[in-house]
Amino acid sequence: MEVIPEETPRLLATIRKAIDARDLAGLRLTAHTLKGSIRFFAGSRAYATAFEMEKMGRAGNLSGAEEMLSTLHGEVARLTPVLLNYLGRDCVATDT
Amino acid sequence: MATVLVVDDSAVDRRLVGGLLGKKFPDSIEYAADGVEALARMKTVAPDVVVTDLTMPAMDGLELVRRVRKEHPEIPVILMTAYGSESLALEALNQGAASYVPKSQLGDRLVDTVEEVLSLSRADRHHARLLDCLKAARTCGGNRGQ
Repeated sequence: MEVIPEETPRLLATIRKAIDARDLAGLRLTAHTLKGSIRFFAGSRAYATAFEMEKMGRAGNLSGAEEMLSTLHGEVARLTPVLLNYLGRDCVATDT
Repeated sequence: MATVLVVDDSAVDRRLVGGLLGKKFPDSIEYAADGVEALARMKTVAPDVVVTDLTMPAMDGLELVRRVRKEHPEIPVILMTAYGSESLALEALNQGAASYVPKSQLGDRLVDTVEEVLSLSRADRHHARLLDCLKAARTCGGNRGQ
């Protein structure tokens, strides 16, 4: 669990690069990894959004990708303090 | 003590799997982030079993299974599969993977599956050594008869 707050910023940055490069395979794989990392929060909007981005990469259609990434950042940011609180750590703001 | 190589591009899942296996295989777990890294590690540290994710960048689990069967046929590979990857898991079994465990069932099944695969792998190696000994004995017996 404690690895999740460390890993998610890296994965979000990789998704950003994949969208910028129009790298559909990279988007699909990284969104898949992020989705897997937060599967313990499977009912969350973060999980659902990561899944949508994975499907976007698979379908080869980046329409709406920017908005979806923005949503994903926001939803992961909402999860992070919950997780950090569970882990007994102070919240640290992350750049979106 | 058996060495397990855990291959997954997710740091969360590497930690999770390492934690599950660590009680049974303390100090004997190696890690790799994808298939390319796994094969490079296997040149220096020969694991007794590989536990790998299916979907990874650079080289996925299916290709890793093919390469391990070709380059290290004595090392069994176990796949971890996400929901919806069942057809890929079946393909990997056809390519020679020893077993697979759905990621949703890692807590319940991973350790038992690894132990079972290791046990079968040891039995295969004993059997192969026995056959070699029998062949060698037959050859010596044949030579003595000449």
